[in-house]
Amino acid sequence: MTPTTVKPETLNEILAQVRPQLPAEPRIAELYGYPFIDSLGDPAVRVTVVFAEDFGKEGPDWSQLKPIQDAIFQVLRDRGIEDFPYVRFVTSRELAANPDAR
Amino acid sequence: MSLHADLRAQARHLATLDRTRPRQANLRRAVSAAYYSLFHLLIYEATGMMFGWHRDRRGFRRALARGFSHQSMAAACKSFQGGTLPTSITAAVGSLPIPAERRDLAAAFAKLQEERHRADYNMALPFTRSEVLSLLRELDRVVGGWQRIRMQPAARFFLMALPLWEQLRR
Repeated sequence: MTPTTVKPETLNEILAQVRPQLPAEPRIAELYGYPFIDSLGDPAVRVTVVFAEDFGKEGPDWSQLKPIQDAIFQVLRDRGIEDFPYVRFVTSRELAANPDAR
Repeated sequence: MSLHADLRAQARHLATLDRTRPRQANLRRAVSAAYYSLFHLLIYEATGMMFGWHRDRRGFRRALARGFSHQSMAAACKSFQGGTLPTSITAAVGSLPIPAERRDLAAAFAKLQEERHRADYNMALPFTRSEVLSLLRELDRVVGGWQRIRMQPAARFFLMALPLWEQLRR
């Protein structure tokens, strides 16, 4: 198996650095990630953005999420991390209701 | 409607089917439908650009469609998303500019394929409704963006590179 190229603690340090630069709305309650090997066998990182507020039945507007995803892509590129970033968006309430989804 | 459009509609239907707590079966099938919507859209576009969309060319399109592999397409998309095209390509076409629409589409394809894999095989990490709806919103956005750039030569090159990626990147 191909080893991952970023350590979990390094990834989370980078995410902590980028967090203040992310849009204020929708409010982010938590931002965390971990490295893994994706289904193609490539090193990858899964980043979870946890929002403090719920969204309506139609879900979040992508125009609000894209700047967050772009900023995460950019900071990882800037730090020389080539592992493909898979960014997921969830809410605090959802994680409280289903902790396995963390 | 086309298969890819039907699959996109099906994904949204499944993601919003349950009034209260969504069932994992519906969320996971929604993710799968979303991925296959984009997979079939790209194949439809690639084979159509090669043979045209006329009905009497359908057999050619369908025969060629079988040559598109998930792995090759995802590997190509990762490269296009990261802007890291292999030197075998840049040596021929120069530093190919990758417009935001194509970069976003490539990112969405790679993400949806990985999430489709998770939906079918990884029971350890459940999906949430917000997560699935955000994937569908991203899909809607990249499909709209694709319509704006699909006739550009570089977009056609992207389509043709999808099934040939293993050979092209050598």
